[in-house]
Amino acid sequence: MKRNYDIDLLIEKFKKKDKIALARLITLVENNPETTTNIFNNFDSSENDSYIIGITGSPGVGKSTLVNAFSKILLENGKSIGIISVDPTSPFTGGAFLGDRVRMTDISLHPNIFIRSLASRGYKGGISRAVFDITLLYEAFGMDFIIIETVGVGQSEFDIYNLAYTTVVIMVPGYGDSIQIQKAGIIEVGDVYVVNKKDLGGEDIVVQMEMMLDDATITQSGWRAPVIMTNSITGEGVNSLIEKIMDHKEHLELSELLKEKKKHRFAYKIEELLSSKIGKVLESLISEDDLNKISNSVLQGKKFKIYDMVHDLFSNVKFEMKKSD
Amino acid sequence: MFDENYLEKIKEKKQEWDKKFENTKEREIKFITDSGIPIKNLYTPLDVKSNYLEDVGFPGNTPYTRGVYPNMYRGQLWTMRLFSGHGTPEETNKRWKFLYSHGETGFSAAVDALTFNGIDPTNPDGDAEVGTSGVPLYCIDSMFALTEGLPIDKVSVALIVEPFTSAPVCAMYYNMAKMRGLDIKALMGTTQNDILTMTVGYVPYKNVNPYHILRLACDLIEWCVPQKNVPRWHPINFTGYNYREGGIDAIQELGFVFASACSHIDNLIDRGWKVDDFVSRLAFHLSAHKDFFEEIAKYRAARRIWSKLIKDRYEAKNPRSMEFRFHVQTAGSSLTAQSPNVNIIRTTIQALEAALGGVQSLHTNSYDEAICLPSEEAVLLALRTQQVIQDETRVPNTIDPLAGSYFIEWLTDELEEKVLSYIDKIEKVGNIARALDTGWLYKEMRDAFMRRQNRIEKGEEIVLGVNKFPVPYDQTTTVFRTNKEAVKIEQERIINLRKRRDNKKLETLFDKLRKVCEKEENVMPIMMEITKEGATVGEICDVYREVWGIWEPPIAI
Amino acid sequence: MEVIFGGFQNVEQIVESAISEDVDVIGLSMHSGAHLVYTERVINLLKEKGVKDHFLILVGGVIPVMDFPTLKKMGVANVYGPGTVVADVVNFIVENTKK
Repeated sequence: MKRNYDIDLLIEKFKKKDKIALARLITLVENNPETTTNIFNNFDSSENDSYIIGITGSPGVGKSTLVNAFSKILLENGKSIGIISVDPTSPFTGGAFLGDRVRMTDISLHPNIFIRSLASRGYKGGISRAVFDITLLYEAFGMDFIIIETVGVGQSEFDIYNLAYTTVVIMVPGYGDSIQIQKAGIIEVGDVYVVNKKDLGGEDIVVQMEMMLDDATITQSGWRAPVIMTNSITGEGVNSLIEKIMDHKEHLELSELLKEKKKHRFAYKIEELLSSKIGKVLESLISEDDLNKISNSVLQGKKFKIYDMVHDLFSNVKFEMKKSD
Repeated sequence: MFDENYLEKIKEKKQEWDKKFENTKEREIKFITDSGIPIKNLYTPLDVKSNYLEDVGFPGNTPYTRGVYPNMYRGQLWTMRLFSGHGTPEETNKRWKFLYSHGETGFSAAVDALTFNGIDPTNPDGDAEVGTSGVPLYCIDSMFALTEGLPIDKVSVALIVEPFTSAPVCAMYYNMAKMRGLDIKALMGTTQNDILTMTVGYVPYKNVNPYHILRLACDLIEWCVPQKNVPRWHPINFTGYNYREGGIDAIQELGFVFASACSHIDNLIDRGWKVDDFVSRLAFHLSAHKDFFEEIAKYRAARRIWSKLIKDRYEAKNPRSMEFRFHVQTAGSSLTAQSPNVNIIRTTIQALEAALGGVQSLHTNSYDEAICLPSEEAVLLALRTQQVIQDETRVPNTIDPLAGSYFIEWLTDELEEKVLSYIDKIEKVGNIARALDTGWLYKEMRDAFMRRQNRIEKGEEIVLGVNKFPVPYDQTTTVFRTNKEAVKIEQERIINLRKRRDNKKLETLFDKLRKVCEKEENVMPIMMEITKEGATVGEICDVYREVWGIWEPPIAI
Repeated sequence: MEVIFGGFQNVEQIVESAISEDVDVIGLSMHSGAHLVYTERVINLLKEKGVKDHFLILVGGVIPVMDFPTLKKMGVANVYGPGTVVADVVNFIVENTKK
């Protein structure tokens, strides 16, 4: 009923730092990707660069409680923060999710913070696109920091480290320690590891992590990811988490790796945009029927012909390569 | 239970009968219990697998299937305890006096949402809820007002308050009793003190992590019972009732309470106590729900499970430790706002379940409770419902009258087996604090609620007035409103108290409380000191929050 | 349709959440008997921020039928008492948020 937003009016208010306008512009880019170009064209003059931090971990490890504690300290230092909280859509109801902002009640009313929740499912062009677009809106709004909070590595539908400059991986002892660690890629993605111990032990997992990081890293970046222990409930260890994040930020800035990270953030996006464009072209050339035919023949004893069949299908497609001027 | 040869003969005859039955017509519904156990058309001696002496036995003997006392209602009828708690302590006191004059034999005070959550009425977060869903009890002055002029040394009192605030509320109550010149060693009563009520049974507001809530619950048990400060008090009442109201079934209800009870026992054993030092004072609070026979079998199964569990798992020596004593409340969730008079009938039938099941204390709901706290007229009818059963029906004349029913014995066995395997399932997740913190219990609650709601919406579970013979939801009841002035009265009470008390002295005591919390020592001794000096429940809970942090429950949606 | 479960929040947090998430509907669920006071406070704060018209406001829970007109006068679009069927709520939302 109120989705006929007046973009020009919203932009005008947005530029005056009106949070209601920010909220509505996010709705627009979330739901109508077509409007994105139009909206972003208004921000040409914005030169603000936000520092993007990704925080990831399985549900229940205490992410939002840590984000809450962390943000509080940034706010006390006069920083502005935009939070994107990607919450798992309930497999049970298909459309419901629990806003993690529930756990951020300490900070949610502060004037320098804006929290937006995203369900992990249900976006045109996927969650990755929606998150990227919101980071751009937050940058235009003038946020000093952007925090993207997502559910665990390998479980989320997009890879946070392609967007974030510093990625924090949070684990909790006892929920299948070895599985968490061994999960593909976990050693590569984190810049800072957190073992949030709550009431339980946790020393074991820290030792295991340290050993694996010793074996796997000292990457080209020259950064050896630290492992810290926190207790998100009492706030213990939160200060050293902030310290490590800031250390990493400084490391990136000094080594000029930050430029690389920023480049990667956009290169990744460009690639994604291109594939989606090519995908659309393909969709128009190859029908659902064609695909069904192949899968049906595969199922009827032709599984070893799969490459041939796809090749044949393409032999009927004529591309015309034309570089635009 | 029966002679082999005779059973063979029955089997033969039964087969003949089965053929006859095959040619008859059956209604097209699922014949199952509320928890989904398929029900046969007929039960005979062939279905009774249990052994009389070992599994059923005699009342007052293990495994207590037929009742925990040898004389049961031949000796003493169950305690009649109705809901009380609204507005202010003074108004609740008036309600107690009213019910007492009409024959109530036990008092109950359900606290309001603020007292549950450890928030003082001066806090703008909750001021609108002072006295709306229970009685505000957040300082010692409230306790004097609550009990004024009543024989609390003779009538037992149930304080419906959960572990987050049970320590200060109980300490206030015990201090008041002492100051009234009573010996708290003889004081009778119960504290609900149930970890699950405020977690899966209700959304808590600014409470602490279940790990600490479990400890707080055990602090009260330890201080009252094995440390013998209030040895006749029931410091905990595992309240399956509350979460049953959220949609779980009879099997899950018993599974939740027993898994929770085991976690508390383990905690106390870790503190160095023996199971026989305290277990006999643990009590239970179950629901009397819609499935008549299943509920009766549930009470019998519960007694048997508990007795075996305490004997086998915990190697208790004292048979008293193995007695399962329980309070029942009729099912509030079975009541409808539509045609509220029908609720009187529902409640009557549920009360009969409890009476036939050997309950120790019974709370019958008032017919208006689907929509408001009970009015005086409605609560009196609820009390009369119990009195009709006690005084007019002759139901209490013999002990466990349904024992020996092929169906009841079979269903008791069936429930026992299913509950035991459900307890295993919970314990695989961990103790009760862990089952909460991981969100597992929330998921169980969500699934159960959705199943029940779907059944009702599909008409598989009939709710008269709602999905069968629907009646519009209109003005058919007068609504009992709690006192709008309560917030002002309570705010004044607290302001006066803060002026009167020795705030310097309290500062030192709060420091002491802070240290006790940090060291995770038993909070009760300092709680007795600090509440006597006029500390409020809200101030005390703020210390909990400060030291332990606020916990947000991992609610499953 | 997407549902954000907001948990137990105070009036300021409810309003802040609704604005930041830019929702279409605010659903308030109350069982404590304080529904008139809380609803009024939420609506007043929405008005103060000039966003009352952004939202369809629904109230549900243990709400006596005689309070329905009072709530509607405050600006609540619909009220759901005990025995409500989920589909009715969904249909009402669909009907009243399209255009």
